[in-house]
Amino acid sequence: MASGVKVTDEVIAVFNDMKVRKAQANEDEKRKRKKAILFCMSKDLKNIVLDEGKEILLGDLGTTVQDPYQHFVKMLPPNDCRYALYDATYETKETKKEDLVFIFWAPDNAPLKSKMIYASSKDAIKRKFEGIKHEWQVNGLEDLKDRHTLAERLGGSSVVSLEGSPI
Amino acid sequence: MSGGVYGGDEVGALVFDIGSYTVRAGYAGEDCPKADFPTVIGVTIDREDGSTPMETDGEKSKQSGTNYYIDTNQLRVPRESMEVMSPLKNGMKLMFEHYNIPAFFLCKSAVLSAFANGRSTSLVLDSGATHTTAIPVHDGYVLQQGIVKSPLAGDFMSMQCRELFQDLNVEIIPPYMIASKDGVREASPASWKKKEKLPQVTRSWHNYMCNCVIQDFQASVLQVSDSPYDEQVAAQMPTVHYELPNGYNCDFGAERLKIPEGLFDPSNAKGLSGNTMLGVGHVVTTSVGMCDIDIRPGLYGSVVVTGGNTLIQGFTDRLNRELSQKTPPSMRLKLIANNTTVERRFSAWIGGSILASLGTFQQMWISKQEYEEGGKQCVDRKCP
Repeated sequence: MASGVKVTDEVIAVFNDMKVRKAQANEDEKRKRKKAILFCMSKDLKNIVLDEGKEILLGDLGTTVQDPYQHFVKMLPPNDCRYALYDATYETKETKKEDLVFIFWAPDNAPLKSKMIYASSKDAIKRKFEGIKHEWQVNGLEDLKDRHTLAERLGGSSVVSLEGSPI
Repeated sequence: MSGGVYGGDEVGALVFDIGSYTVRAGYAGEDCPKADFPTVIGVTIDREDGSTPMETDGEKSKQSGTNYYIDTNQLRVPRESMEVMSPLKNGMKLMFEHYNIPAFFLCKSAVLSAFANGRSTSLVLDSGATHTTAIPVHDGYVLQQGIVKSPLAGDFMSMQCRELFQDLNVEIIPPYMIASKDGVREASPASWKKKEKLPQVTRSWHNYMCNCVIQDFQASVLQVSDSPYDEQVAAQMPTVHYELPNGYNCDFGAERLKIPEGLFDPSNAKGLSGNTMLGVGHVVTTSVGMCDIDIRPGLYGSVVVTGGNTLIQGFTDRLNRELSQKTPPSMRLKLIANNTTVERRFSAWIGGSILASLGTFQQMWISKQEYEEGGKQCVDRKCP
């Protein structure tokens, strides 16, 4: 059941960008690719838009950002809801993989109106993100802090390392 | 412009959540229903020949001289020949054809409760007056095949309370009959004077008033024990003193725990034929069990508890305990139970209120014109 909220084109563009793992031509473009990004409601609550400044670029890794996952967790507002796309790099015993994870962040202490709007609009944004294999509904920091939970979601017990660090 | 987009911000909407015990109604955009009144109507029909009116249904009572009384204050005044009944659930037909409203939308209350708690996937456990129901919601849609209903709820406990008083040989006298009462010692028979000149009230109304007394007892005295009922543990429970309207007062100890135990473990409850009823814990696990195995962790991780019956002291703790024992060890269990009364009883209403006040929602309404063209099918299509 939907709330009628629309997804802006820039959101869809960002998604398509993150989805396609093109063999990047040069280092510059590779650095601009997004590792993680947050989406929020526009002020008039009619559209889903990009959350200004709330993103991690691939180029930041190793320089300003050491642990991308923890940095991502810190970006989430403690008292408001958000949607997020996180590009997770993980290794199983056989291969190295990269998967996009769609995260619905709705902490229990967010205002009820916010929870209601984000929950009822989730369907709208998810439909635009075709091909996402992993979806995560998170309602509190304790669900998110632990890297193990993300690792399990991605591949169960066969995941040996996440973002370069072993589980 | 078919469908019609109503002028966004100027639309005012009414939100109704009709339950079997109370109706919650109010304006969209507010955070609490303005009206919260019992779902009963008092009907008096003046018959010329003085015969007692029979229960009439909503459609037929267009006869002259019919008076309806709703809401607590009006209902509690003893009137001659006033029958009490539950209004028929007529739904859309009544809305559009009788009341001529311009637009309508239906939402499943379980979905609204889940959304109001920030979850689009969750198991909603709604324990109200007539039923305890577990409804799995996945991605905003109700999984119909997973719905499990049990009749063990508020009314069942009221019945048990009635039997308790019968066993104690105490008569339930509603306040309207009492002119004055004397203070008596604990557990001694009540001493009270009946009001003179009471109108000739109907049986249904008298029963309704007695139920109100019992429901008050139920709400204040009963408690769910946090482990399965044990005679010895119960005997050591602190007692609660309660006084009935007619002056009879007593300390209740073990009974406080025994009666609600029937909700969780119906095997020992009186008045239940056979052992086929599901306790609350079982209702939840059965419901989850009927869903796809992949979504079960999501359901166990978000169990939303709503409904007035869950406000009994100790209900959520006991439920938490039961479920932790029954869930597979690999699954995380999380119970979401709003601590404020308002939110737990009204979560579906509040969800509806927010939804109806959204600017973007205004295009989702089903207009009268659409209903006339499409009939019931358009409702099924637009309101999943």
